[in-house]
Amino acid sequence: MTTSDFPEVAAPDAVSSEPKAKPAADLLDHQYDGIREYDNPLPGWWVWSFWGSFFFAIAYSFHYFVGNGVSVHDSYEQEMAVVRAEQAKRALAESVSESGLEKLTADGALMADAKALFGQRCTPCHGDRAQGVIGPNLTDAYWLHGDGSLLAIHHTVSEGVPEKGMPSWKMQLTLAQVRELAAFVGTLRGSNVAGKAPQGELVKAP
Amino acid sequence: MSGKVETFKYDDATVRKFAFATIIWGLVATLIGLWLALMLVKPSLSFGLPELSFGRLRPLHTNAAIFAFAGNAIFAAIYYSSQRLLKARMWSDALSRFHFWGWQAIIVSAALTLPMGISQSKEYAELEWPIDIAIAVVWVAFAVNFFGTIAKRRERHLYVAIWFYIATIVTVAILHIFNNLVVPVSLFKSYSIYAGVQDAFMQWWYGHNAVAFFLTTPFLGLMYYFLPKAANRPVFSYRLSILHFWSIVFIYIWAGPHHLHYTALPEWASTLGMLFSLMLWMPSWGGMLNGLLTLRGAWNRVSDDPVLKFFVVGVTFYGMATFEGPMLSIKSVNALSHYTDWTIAHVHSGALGWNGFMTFGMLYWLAPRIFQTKLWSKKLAEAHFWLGTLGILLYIVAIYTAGVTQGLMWRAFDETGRLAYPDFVETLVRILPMYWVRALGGSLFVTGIILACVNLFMTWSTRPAVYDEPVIEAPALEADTLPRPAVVIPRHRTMLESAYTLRFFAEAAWHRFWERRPLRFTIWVVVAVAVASLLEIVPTFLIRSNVPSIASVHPYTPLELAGRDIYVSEGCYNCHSQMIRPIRSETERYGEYSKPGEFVYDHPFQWGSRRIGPDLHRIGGKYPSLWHVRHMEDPRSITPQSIMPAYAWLLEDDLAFGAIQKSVDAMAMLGVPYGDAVLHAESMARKQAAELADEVVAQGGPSGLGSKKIIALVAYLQRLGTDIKKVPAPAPGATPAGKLAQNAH
Repeated sequence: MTTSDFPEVAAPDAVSSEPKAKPAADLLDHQYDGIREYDNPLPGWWVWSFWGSFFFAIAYSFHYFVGNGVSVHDSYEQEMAVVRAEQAKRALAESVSESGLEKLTADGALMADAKALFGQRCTPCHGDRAQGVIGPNLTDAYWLHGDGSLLAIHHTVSEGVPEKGMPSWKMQLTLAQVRELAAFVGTLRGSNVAGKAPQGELVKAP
Repeated sequence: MSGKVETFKYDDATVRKFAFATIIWGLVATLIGLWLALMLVKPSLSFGLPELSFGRLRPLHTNAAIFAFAGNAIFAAIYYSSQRLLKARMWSDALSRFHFWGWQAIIVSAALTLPMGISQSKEYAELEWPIDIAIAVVWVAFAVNFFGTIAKRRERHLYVAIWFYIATIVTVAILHIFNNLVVPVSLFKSYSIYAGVQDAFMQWWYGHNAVAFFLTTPFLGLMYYFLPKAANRPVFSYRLSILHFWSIVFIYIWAGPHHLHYTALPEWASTLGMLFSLMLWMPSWGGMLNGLLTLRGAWNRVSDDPVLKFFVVGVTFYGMATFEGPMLSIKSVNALSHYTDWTIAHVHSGALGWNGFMTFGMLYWLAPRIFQTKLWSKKLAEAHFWLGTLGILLYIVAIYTAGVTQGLMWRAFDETGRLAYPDFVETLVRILPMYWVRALGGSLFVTGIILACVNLFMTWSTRPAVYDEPVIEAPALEADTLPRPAVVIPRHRTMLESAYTLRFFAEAAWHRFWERRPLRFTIWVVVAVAVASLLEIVPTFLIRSNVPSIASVHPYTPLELAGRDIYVSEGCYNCHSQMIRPIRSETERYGEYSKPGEFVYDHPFQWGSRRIGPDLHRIGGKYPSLWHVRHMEDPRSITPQSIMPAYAWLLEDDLAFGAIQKSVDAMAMLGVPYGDAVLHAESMARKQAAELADEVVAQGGPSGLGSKKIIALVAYLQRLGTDIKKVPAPAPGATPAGKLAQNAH
């Protein structure tokens, strides 16, 4: 069977002279074109890692699909929430600007604070849904003072319109709270809550 | 049990042909690669010729390296070793010839069509449908020839190399067919039947398993024959070969979605891809161990045998690449590595180190045997080894550095929370020195192949006038009467019955039985591959929530579709992705991350895999149309450091308006709700082209572009990624756009 067409192919028994070789019992009795095979046991670290990767995969699947695994979209949203909060903080430190106020609107946690503040300070005149009571409806596209930009809203909140009954808040609230509130009112624009009829000028959607 | 002694001869003429084809195509593939590497630092090297532009040549490089170089190498290995392992001449000489010449004809047609821009744009499956059919036919002929040889074998059991060949042949056929299902538009143009998320999934199911079953399993088979032969040592462990064979066959198939981490592919799929990739580490290393440990007792010969040197380094690169693969499949690692040169370094350590060096080792071992003479120069082979090794190291170290550098630059923010490198080109300029080192490493590798060509040619030239064809004798196989292995439970048992059963399976005695039942063995391979595939494919296609619909996403207009065809044909996906990941540095740089529902009309998908240039998914509306015209005509007039090829011919070539209707019809056939466009595609395209051309003129651009290809491409680019910013059409059916939306959902 070992009539091979090349001279180099070893006779199978040449193997036994190999110093590190396993006992001959491990050499299987079959051969293919002169190639023989040992039946060495698998290295321990290999076996452990092989089965370990299966266990890891199963454990991770439970963690990820059944347990509290965070999807890449959720972790993205979480990261962005932190980033938005940081940007808002930075914007509060800068002078008031349209883009700075816009950054505040993107920060969900800050806007939740502002909503609570709105509930305390503004609902008596503007209604619990900003639908307008004494003061105008803040959810439509019509504005009495300014062009409906965040900057204009900020001006109104900060300075007030004393002749119409809108107080100036800049002395009662912190500068940061005024900005928060202005930004929050900005988020209400265009939500069109049914309430007081539109007053003032129609402005284009910001 | 041994039957009548029969005499026969091996067919080595076919092996000689495949061996020559291997080294010649190897030279071609690496030369094109070197040319591409140089073009990345010197874009002017394309000389403004469309056929030489990067996007068209890169597929030729990858296809030539995989299917021409590695392909011919595995055929040489299979034709040489299978005959000897099965003790039979190949089943049909006619099929062997048909296989050889058919395969070379396919390679030549690839070399002709890809530079002409005839492409399906799916990586490593770029060849258009007529060539795909030819591949399927030749592959089936090969399979018939191979299984025919098994059927008339004179060796009872199948050796492990044959197992790997079987897995290769059946799986490549399945992958090739299902990834290339298309609707032809014309002889040289087709659209994938899958769209967007599903198309991406199928492509990387295919792409990853092309690596598995074209570049791994056949090379493991090659290793199992040629390495013990060259080392003259028994294989280290039979039971390891069983375990790693079956685990590779079953697990590899699942791992494809790790190419699509953070994309619009549903995350359950990419998570499975990651987990199965991790589980692949040890099965792959099982192959490495069986290679390296087989050399025990032969290490002293490595120093003076170039064949063993190539094998040692080849198997070592296999170990490196199969450690790196699972690592890159971990999502957080992938977030850094994906779209960078890291991937390029990874595949080159595999392709040059594993596939290249195993092939060279095999060729140097084969040359004296198939040409029946001495190898012309052992010194030259040694020189090839050292040049090749140095070349690979220079290549991969440089490109790993480039990949990590660029990945870190893309995600770097300054202390004010803004991107540290908002200009994409800054991150490219930084790594260009590494591209020079890569070109140097590549030229060393190519020089090595030239030495191999010389050496093999000179060896061939000292062949005998007539090849000696030794007559082999072997007894014919008779009906198998060996006992079927069964669980033996002794009368006085010392363990639970189930423990005996467990031990029976653990000892794999049943496998010995399978090894003498080729049909059963093949069926189980098909089952392993098919079950694993279906478990991922079926949910990807059937679960509706995988691709939530977006009401404002409409089909491309006929002109935009024609522009998309140009984008596909020019191979833009080779350098630009259309997939913004939900990662802060990406959304800050490119805009809102990409949603699955945005790609429902993308036949085929264009997500890309490497950003040599920036992502384009939200390029629509970002720049004026004139910007695009000028940028395509001469990118460096806009970004001086850009390495993008100039596409001046797009401003000169006429757009084939007459062909647009057929494209729209093919899309409509695939279920794209084209509404009125199926009746008036050409006139709609002409109208939009005229409007866009007027816009370009109004912006101060040249006139007369309304009939040129550029206008379609600009229309497509300006549309990209804009749909989700639109408000859905209010009244269904009120406008053509409204109708489209209505049909879509």
